[in-house]
Amino acid sequence: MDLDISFLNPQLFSLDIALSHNDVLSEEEEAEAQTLIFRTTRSHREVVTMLTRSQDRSTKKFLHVQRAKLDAHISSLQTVCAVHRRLPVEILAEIFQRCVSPETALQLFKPFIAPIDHVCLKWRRVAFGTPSLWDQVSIDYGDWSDHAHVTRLGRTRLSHSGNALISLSIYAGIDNLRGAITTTPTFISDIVIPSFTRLRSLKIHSLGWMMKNLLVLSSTSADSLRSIDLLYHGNRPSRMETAFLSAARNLRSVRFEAQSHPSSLPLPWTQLTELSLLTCVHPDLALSILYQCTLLVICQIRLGGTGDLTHTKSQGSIVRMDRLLSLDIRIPKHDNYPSLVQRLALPSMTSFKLLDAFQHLAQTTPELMFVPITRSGRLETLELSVRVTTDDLSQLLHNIPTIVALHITNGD
Amino acid sequence: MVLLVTSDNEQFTTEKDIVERSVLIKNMLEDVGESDQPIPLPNVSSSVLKKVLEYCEHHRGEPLPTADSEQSQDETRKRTTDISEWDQKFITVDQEMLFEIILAANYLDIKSLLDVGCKTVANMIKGKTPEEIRKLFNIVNDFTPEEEAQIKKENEWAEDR
Repeated sequence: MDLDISFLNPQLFSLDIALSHNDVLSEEEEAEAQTLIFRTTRSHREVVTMLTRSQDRSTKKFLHVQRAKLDAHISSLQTVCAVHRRLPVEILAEIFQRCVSPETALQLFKPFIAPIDHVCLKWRRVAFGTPSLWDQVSIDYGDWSDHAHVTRLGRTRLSHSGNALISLSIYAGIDNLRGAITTTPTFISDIVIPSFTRLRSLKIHSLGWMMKNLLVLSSTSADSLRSIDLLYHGNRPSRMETAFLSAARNLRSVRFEAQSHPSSLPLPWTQLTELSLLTCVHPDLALSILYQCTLLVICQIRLGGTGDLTHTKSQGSIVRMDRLLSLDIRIPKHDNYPSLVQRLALPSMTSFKLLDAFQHLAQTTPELMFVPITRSGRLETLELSVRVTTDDLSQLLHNIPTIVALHITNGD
Repeated sequence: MVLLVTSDNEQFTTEKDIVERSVLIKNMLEDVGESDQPIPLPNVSSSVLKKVLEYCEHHRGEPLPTADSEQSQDETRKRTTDISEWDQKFITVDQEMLFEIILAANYLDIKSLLDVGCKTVANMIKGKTPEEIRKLFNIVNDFTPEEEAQIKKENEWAEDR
């Protein structure tokens, strides 16, 4: 039998070392690997041919063993010559950045669509050396039992983020009282405060009085902070809103449940692009907020609230807001919508959303309900979650030919 | 017309507005001005350049990213793994060719092609375990037992949820 597979002798296989790492091969290793691939593939072909021709059982047995050896060798060579080795670190980092999806980025322990930092040393080094992969920490304490450990891991995650701007989120609301009480202060003191000067976005949904630590931030500037979303449950420190907002001078997006009179808040009105105030909104107040925002380039405004507005008297003239692009109104428990919209004119509005979860608009006439729509000449996107008849809807759509996207729920 | 010479010495003649999707070649052409001199591409083989030119020809005329737009779109682009239908079909190649295209796109500085390649690899590893990823790309598990134990601990924690 003329079959030379002596090159399979492990002692002659100088590429062994290449099987212990994932770095790029040297030129010599590359050349040797190519030679070995050629020889092994040729031998493999020969063995297969011999196997088909051979009738002798012992020969066949021998050939099967040789073929298995060659298969294993080819597998090793494929690992040695794997093309991923040639990828420079910067390309690996580019790939990894595409492994963080917007959804998974919001999760602390499953941050990637794949566990890239658990594959090999090289990938782990590259992952830890790419700050943008670690710039978001979001913790829902309701999902975890060992809260202190979760906070520690959050801190570890942030430690890989270098000097990148970061986004922090915590959910520890009334549905998870223990979590809120034991973790919110720790999260704020251990994670938010040390990172405050490089904070891009902050979202805290928790018990208000547990957020009192935020007060210490009033003496620190947070010029990088562009977005805040603070949702309180229960009482919160009265000075917190003003103190906290004073520190963030470059905010663009604001969402919070204001205790103070919104117009008295130190918000940078002239630069906001998104505003969502969950508060008791008096129509006059809503108009004054909207009016401040019309001085700017506005993308979105949401108005809602739970206060008692039965005393409302709104008899002013129509307020025209020329630069408001998008309006999103959630009808609160107490209906202030009709008195608000009667005075609104939004000629630039291209998107309108109206959500009537409590069905307060059931008694409102369609003409009144759709005032913001009919007064806009450029409406393209309409999203309604209200009770409306097909006839009324047809009539509405007939009069607004500019609409290109329509989403309706809860209609008849 | 522009003459390109690959690492395996094959020559490709192509139109300027096609090949100028490569920032590297565009800059070279601007530097040398009007010239019949061939442009050597020592890091790109003929089979890969053929694919790259196919991509450039399909996307001919599309606006090239400017420095400003590039920066603003960068984050959004990287955090989505959507690939257009044509690009997806184009990039359906074997693993060797896929990585070669990525390397060539990086060398030739064709951002959109690099993006398509990186997204494709990201999609390939999506949802896989570390072991499955190693198997897919023939990656050596080179963690020490201590590192392995630490990683196992991290994984266990994630699985506890």
